[in-house]
Amino acid sequence: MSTSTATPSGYREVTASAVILGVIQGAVMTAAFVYIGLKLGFTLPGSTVAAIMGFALLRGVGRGVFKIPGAGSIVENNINQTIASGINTASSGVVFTFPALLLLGQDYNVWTIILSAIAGSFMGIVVIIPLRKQLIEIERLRFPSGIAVATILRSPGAGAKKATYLFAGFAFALTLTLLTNFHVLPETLEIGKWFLDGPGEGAGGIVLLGTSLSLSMANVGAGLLSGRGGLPFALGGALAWWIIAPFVVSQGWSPPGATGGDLWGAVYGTMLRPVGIGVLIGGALAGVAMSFPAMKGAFKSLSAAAKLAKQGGVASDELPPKVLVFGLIGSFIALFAVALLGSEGAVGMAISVAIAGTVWLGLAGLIVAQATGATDISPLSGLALIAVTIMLALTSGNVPLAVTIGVAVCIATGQCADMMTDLKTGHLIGSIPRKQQIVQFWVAWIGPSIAVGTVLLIWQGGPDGANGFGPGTSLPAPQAGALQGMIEGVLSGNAPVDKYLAGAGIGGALSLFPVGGLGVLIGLAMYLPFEITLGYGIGCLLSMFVEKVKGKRFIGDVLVPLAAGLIVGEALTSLGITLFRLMTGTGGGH
Amino acid sequence: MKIIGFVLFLLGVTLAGGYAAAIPQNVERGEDAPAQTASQRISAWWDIGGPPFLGGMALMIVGAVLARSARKPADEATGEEGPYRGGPPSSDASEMLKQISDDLDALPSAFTDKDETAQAVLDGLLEEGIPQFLDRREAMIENMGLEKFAEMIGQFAMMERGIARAWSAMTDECYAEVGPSLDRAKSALASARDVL
Repeated sequence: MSTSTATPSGYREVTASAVILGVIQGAVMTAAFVYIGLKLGFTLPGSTVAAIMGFALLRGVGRGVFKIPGAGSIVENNINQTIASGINTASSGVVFTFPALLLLGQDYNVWTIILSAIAGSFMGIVVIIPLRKQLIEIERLRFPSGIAVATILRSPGAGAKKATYLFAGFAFALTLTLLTNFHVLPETLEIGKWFLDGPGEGAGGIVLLGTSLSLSMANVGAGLLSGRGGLPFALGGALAWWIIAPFVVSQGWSPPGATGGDLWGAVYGTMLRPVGIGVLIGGALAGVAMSFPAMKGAFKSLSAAAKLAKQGGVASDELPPKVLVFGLIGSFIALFAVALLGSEGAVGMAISVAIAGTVWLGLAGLIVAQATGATDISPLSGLALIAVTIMLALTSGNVPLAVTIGVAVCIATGQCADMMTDLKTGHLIGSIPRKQQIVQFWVAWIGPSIAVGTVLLIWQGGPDGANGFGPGTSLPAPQAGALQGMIEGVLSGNAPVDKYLAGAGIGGALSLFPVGGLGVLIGLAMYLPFEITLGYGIGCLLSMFVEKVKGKRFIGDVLVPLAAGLIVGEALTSLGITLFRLMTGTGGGH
Repeated sequence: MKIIGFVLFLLGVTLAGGYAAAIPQNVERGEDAPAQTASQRISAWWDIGGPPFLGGMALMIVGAVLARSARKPADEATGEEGPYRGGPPSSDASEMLKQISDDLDALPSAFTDKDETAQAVLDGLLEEGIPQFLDRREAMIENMGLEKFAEMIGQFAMMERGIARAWSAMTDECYAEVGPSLDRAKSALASARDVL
């Protein structure tokens, strides 16, 4: 098939086959992952699957069956994988938010939901135009999953040794994931509990209750790829669970008499997690201020690239800054229209909702992109909760409108994380960022429409044309249930505003210290259970040790393919197990 | 001074973090708890945690300022790796760019077939030469300022993409793409060297 934007050399990049395959894969994954999300409470990233399928279909079938010379090139497969994962991003954004509206029994306008979702999808792409330069080129964040996918894409030319390490990592992660999923091994080693006599109480008890290690090899792999840069995240976990948690318990701020899981839940759910969300926000805001000169440099560089390209009559590698401006205006108008429809014509409220939505969307996108870049973990749900909280405050408790804007924020932030990861992959294999961004624009409307449609279809498949998911059904929709609970909490006046504000202050102060992104990393560490942070930290320490002993080249030759294998192995095995459980009717156990 | 700054900062984070998490003992929790306005909630928290929290914040700020101010003169005087963000001094950064430039110039300008040697050179640059240069990132920011560094690194990143694309094209046996990709890399590298 001929290339629509072929290079003069005929190097296949944006081809019709890559776009079509990407759209088909993305559409199928979106519908499937919406179902999985309603069933199990989590969705899965699509990049790895799409990249491997791309090899089989674009390269294998393209060259073998259709005899297309050069079919399935590395950069062509990157376009396919970028499109597929970009479409699939909508599944998590929609599954976490929209079903809550249905579960709450609120009235809704499906077209407003779709408009909001599509606006969020476009805005996520727009926001990353300057962020790509800032986070990938200037700050050099690692984006572990981006490296993993690049390792897969480069595997045809990487040599037998690297392929062996990639496979070894894959096999190890596959084995461990199977063993933990089928309960031969526990998913988490509750190390602290080994030293507990009773259920666990007091300051010493919370240290032991909190100290556990997830056996997720993707987590360790992300730490291996991050190395020293990820260490503040691990130290943040230690600070939260080994210093702050025992301190608050020793002060008598935990519920009286709480022990074991109740104590852990109270400290985590009502103290560390809300403070962590605040630290994330404060850290991101201060980070924007601190990195202003670099942002200015990034914008100048974008403008210069656009000017040079215009003078030379050739296409720039970058999308020009005016796309960012038009995109932001367009998304603002779309959110304004959504808010106007949702508030029955209250123009003042619609303007304030559109402004707050746009600003929050940009900030949340930055937070998620930074967190994903440094740790591979994205605090999507926490940021969506804050978005809905803000909107509930601005709209005096208009739940349908708050959730509708929440859909946009959740999709946009997911889009930011996914697009940045794909752009990192592209950077490592020599793709042109502009082409990746343009194809993502072409297809940004597809995922939201499919995801919203799938949710409605499943909902209407229930008795009397409703209640197709939720508590008591085979699709419990746990994430939407959490949002539903949070909305009910906010409406009854129980949002931990004090924790958010105090945390934001800490996040701001953390950003003053001369370590890039410290506020976001520490906030993320407080937001997550220690089992994740600890596994990641072990990966970071191992990577630092290996680099010290064996040198940088060894990292590239051995550790990167090994770690990529761990990430890919766990992702694909988890997907396979999930599909197997759904097909055999043994799902829902998570 | 750096150590003092770090210790003060750590103490401050601990104090501020601990008191940020404070919940008055008489406050009911959970979904069934009685409603509170935001100001009631903040006021109740402030009564038990406010002043120590502010103390912790002050310690953090003082610690961060000490760490920042102590860092630059020490790095300039000794050329040692910084304790927090790290990286050797930037004095040899231009030498490293020259080395990369020499490596690229030594490659053929056009390719018609697989060239194992050239691919090994590109591989070496991607796995070793470029990461080593990037290790100088922090020292370069100190010397050049963030804005100028952003300008330079933008060109450097373009060079990286050019080299990576040449590597990918070589692997994909699209040899006609290798030369132009390397040309773009060389041109971007020249711009980066100019800025540096």
